[in-house]
Amino acid sequence: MAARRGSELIIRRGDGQPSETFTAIGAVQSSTLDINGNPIEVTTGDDVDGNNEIWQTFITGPKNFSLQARGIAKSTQPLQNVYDDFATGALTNYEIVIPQLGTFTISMIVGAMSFEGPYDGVASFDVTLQAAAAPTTFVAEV
Amino acid sequence: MTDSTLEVQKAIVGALKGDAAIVLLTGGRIYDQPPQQPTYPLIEIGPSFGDVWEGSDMDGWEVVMTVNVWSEKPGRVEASQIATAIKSAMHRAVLPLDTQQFVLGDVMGTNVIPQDDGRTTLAAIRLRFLTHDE
Repeated sequence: MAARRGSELIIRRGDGQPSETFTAIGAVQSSTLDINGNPIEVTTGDDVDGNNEIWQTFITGPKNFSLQARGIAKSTQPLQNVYDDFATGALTNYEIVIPQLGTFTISMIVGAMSFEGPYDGVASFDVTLQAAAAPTTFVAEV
Repeated sequence: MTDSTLEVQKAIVGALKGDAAIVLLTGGRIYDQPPQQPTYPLIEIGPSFGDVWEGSDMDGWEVVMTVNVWSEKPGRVEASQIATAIKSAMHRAVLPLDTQQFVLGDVMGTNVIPQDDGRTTLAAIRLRFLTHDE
């Protein structure tokens, strides 16, 4: 199987309806998704190898899922929806497709938004979404 | 992927022909391809460069187009004056397109080049446009 295009990493926002429809949050041109296990260090003086050297020791910590998307707003609604989520602190379902990995459905909060206005370029936005809980579903890519 | 170069070209020509100062300076001689024995000064649509400009849910196109001004008057004054009129018309222009959405238009720069024939002067104005689908 071949490597895949970055544009196949897809982020879609749910409309909150019982049978949820997921749509793009704008013309995303770059996105980064981080899954962090936040390992907790539990090293003690007993954690030594055969040469009596101490090794750092960890246990798994609280997991965390966040993503950053950068793009262009082609129309008003998608951007305003994301801002409304930020303003009201709404938990919103997102569908996130990661090439070669699979599709997550996950409830997210808007952690941060920023807007850029290059004088000779196109206005763009940057949004950081933070998982509000563990993913609701994960369907591995086949 | 929709190449909007021709739509942008049509809109540029429309804007130039609709600009009284440019029409006055050039006699309205604005060509895609000038005649073999032209009357000077004239404006010619020069080389263009198109590039994909896309995002999720966005089909966009970037067009860099050169508009050439040809003058036969000695020196570079006439070519430069027409180039300035074109820059004024195109700076931050919002052009009407047939099918695509117009995002932005900017003047990138101008080259004024006296020609080796010792007779004509070329002013080449580089313009940049971004468009996307509905």
